Amino acid sequence: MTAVLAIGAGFWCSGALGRPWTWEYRPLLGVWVLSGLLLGGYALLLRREPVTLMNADQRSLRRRRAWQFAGGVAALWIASDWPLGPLGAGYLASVAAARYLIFVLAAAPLMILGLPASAMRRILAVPVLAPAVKVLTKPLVALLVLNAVFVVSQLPPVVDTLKVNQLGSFALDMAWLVSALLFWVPVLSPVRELPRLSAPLRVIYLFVQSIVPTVPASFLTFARDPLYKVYELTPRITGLSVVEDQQLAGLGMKLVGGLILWLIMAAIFFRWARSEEDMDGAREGRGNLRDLERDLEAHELRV
Amino acid sequence: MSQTLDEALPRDGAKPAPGSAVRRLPVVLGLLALAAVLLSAAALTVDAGDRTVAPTGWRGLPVPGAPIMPELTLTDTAGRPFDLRAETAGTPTLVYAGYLSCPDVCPIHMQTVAATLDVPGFERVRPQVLFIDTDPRRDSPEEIRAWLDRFDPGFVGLTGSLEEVNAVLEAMGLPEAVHGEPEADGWYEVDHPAQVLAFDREGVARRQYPFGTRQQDWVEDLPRLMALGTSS
Repeated sequence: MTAVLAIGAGFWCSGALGRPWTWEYRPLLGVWVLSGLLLGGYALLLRREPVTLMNADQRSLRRRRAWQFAGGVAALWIASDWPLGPLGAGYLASVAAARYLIFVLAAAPLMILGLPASAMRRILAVPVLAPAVKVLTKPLVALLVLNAVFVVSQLPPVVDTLKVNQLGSFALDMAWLVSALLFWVPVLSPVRELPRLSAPLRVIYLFVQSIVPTVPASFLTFARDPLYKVYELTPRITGLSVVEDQQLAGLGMKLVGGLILWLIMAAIFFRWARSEEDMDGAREGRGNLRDLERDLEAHELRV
Repeated sequence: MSQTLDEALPRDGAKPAPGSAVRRLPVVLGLLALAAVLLSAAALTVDAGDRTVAPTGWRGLPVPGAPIMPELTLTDTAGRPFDLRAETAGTPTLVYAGYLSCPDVCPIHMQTVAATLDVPGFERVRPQVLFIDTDPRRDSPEEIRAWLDRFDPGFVGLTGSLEEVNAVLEAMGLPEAVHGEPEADGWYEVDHPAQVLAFDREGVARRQYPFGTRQQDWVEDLPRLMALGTSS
């Protein structure tokens, strides 16, 4: 009589395991809670601002910043909730790449843009956070941290270990978000304590960032075999093969990520060039030092 | 004398003293981050296959008892009788038992094997692939054919009564498929063995591949399987 082969992990399929993917909306409670906490925390910070003492321009800036922050949280929610969240965590590498781009190029910069100076100063007033933030937002450090997190988070052992459960996926997402927030401070900081780079240096900073991730993204684009177990051993829900999906992930990171950064660089450059013209006009038209200082403040706000 | 970090931190507006911990910290962090980037980039080139390779070099696991392809007959999706021993004689064969409503294990096994056979160079390394359906109540031959065609039109679908299918599984040394109790809407679970059995061209089960077998594992093992029995 033939011996029955061992029944163990990988040797028995119980119909009770796993759910097939469906396009039925299934909200992720944790994502909604996080989004609510971020918006609620922001609202509390805003409440402490002396609105009655603000002039019209300041109130307008305050409103714009609130919308920017809300936009950042909305981007975070879109990237994390169904369907992008579960698809990126367990089905498609291309969706995971899209999520990364949303985190780094939409959610993080909008949240930094939307953070008022008073809120940033409150964060910097926390004794443990202040020295770490000051160090980690130095341009070279921030650049290296972002790319180190990116590369490590693309390693097959890391992906295959962390993305198989919600806690691991959450940890990866937070690593992406925090490193991205630190990255954007030298570009968008609202406080002089964490000074922004000058406009030309900001362009160079972003240019470097547009180049560095293409190296690890190339591994995805040109790999002939599936790199990630978590995306390979999952039912196909699109017409793409595992390798095609992987290649799309690499191309997306290189092309879409690069394009967005170049658009931002262009915006910074042209705004800087325009403000330089305005400054030249101010020097010619008015010799008053006080007027010049006021122009410098306005120049800082715009650029 | 060493400073604490608090002593090293500048007061607002003051620069840290030359050589202080705070001055060195960004450099240290930067170097650590750079090291992480370089090491990680190098690690990305590591082979994606993660199954432990046996000293024999096989990725698949040995099959205790090395069962022989049974002399039993099922029905293929065209309605023709399929004698397992006769139809697979002289051809290395992969056998898997599953069902169409399976959410993950069954389609993943089929898609992984199909993806392997699509790898350039595998045109000459092509075993016969048999899919034995373990849910004859819900899966019609036409549905089995359409499902298999999503992966590879060359895969052979086999069906029969649950008793006939279980007799084949038992002869191959596999546990029987079990149907659960139907729920109110008629849905029931089907539990079944999850490994692929690899038979050589002489009909001997040489290797088994549990769920979790990756394309790279098949890429390594299929040429070896095809070569078994050709040297005699």
